[in-house]
Amino acid sequence: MSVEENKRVVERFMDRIVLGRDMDAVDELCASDVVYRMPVGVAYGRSGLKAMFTKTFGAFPDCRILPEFHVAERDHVITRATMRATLTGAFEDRSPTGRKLVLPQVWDFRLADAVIADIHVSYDTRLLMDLLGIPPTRAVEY
Amino acid sequence: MPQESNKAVVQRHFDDVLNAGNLAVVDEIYTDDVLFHGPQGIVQGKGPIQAWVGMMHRAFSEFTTDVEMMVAEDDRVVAKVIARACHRRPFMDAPATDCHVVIPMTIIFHLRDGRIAELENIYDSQAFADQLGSSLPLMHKL
Repeated sequence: MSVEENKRVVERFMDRIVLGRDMDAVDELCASDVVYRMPVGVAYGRSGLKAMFTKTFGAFPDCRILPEFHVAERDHVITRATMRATLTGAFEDRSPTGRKLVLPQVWDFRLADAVIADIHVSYDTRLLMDLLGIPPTRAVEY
Repeated sequence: MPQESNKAVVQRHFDDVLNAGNLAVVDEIYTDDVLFHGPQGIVQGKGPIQAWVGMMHRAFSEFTTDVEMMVAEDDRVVAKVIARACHRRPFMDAPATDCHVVIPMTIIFHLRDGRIAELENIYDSQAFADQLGSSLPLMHKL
C-alpha cells in the first residue's frame, strides 16, 4: 500500500467513524483484530472499538474531532487532530454556558493489508479534566 | 531524501539539546523565529527552548529521551519518544521527590530550510504529575 492510499483510509476513518459516527464503517476500514489504545483504556477488535466509540460519543454528544494534518511514512499515518465541544452542562461553580473545549490530540494509525490494524490516541488527560472543570485527584500513595 | 535529513535534525534535538543539554546546538538547528508550544503557551524564539531545557536539567538528573519511532513526510517529522528522568531538585511547585518518571511523548516538528521552525509536545501531564505524587495544576502547559 502506498502512503497516499494509507492516508485515504485514515481520512475515511476520521470522516465516517470519528466525525460521522457510522459504526458500520469500522468493518470496512479496520482489521478484525484491530487494537485501539487511548490514555484511559484499550479496546480490542471491531466490536471493542465500536463499543469504545459509542461510549465516548455518549459522554461527549456534541464533540467534534477534526484532523488538522497527517504525517505518513511506511505503514504509519500520524494525524494531529483537535477535539472541540461547547460545554453546556453546569459543573460545580463554573459557568455552564458557552465554555469551549479545545483539546489537541495525536492519532497514530498503523495500517496492514489496506486496513487499520492499530490506533494509538494521545492527549493530555489533565488538560481535558481542567477544560471539563474536574479538579485533579491526588495519586494514591502506597 | 528530505525526510532523512529532517529526521537527522530532529534526532539532534533529542541527542544534543535534550539529552546532552548542549544549548549551543540550539543556534544550529532551530530557526530564529521557532515556535515552541511550551509552558507559557506558544512562545517564539530560541530563548524559551534554552530556558526550558535548562529548567529540566536543573530539576531532573539522568534525563534521557529515547526515540521509539519517527514518521516523516514533506516538512514535518513526528517523533514518539519515552522521556525518563529522576526528580532530584525542586520543579515548579513540587519539592524534590527522587522519583523516577517514565513518560511517553509525541512531538510534532515542522521544519524550514533544514531547521526546526515549530515544535509541539503532546503527552499526558496527569501521568507525569501522578509519578511525582503531585497534582500540579500548571503541568499541562509544560
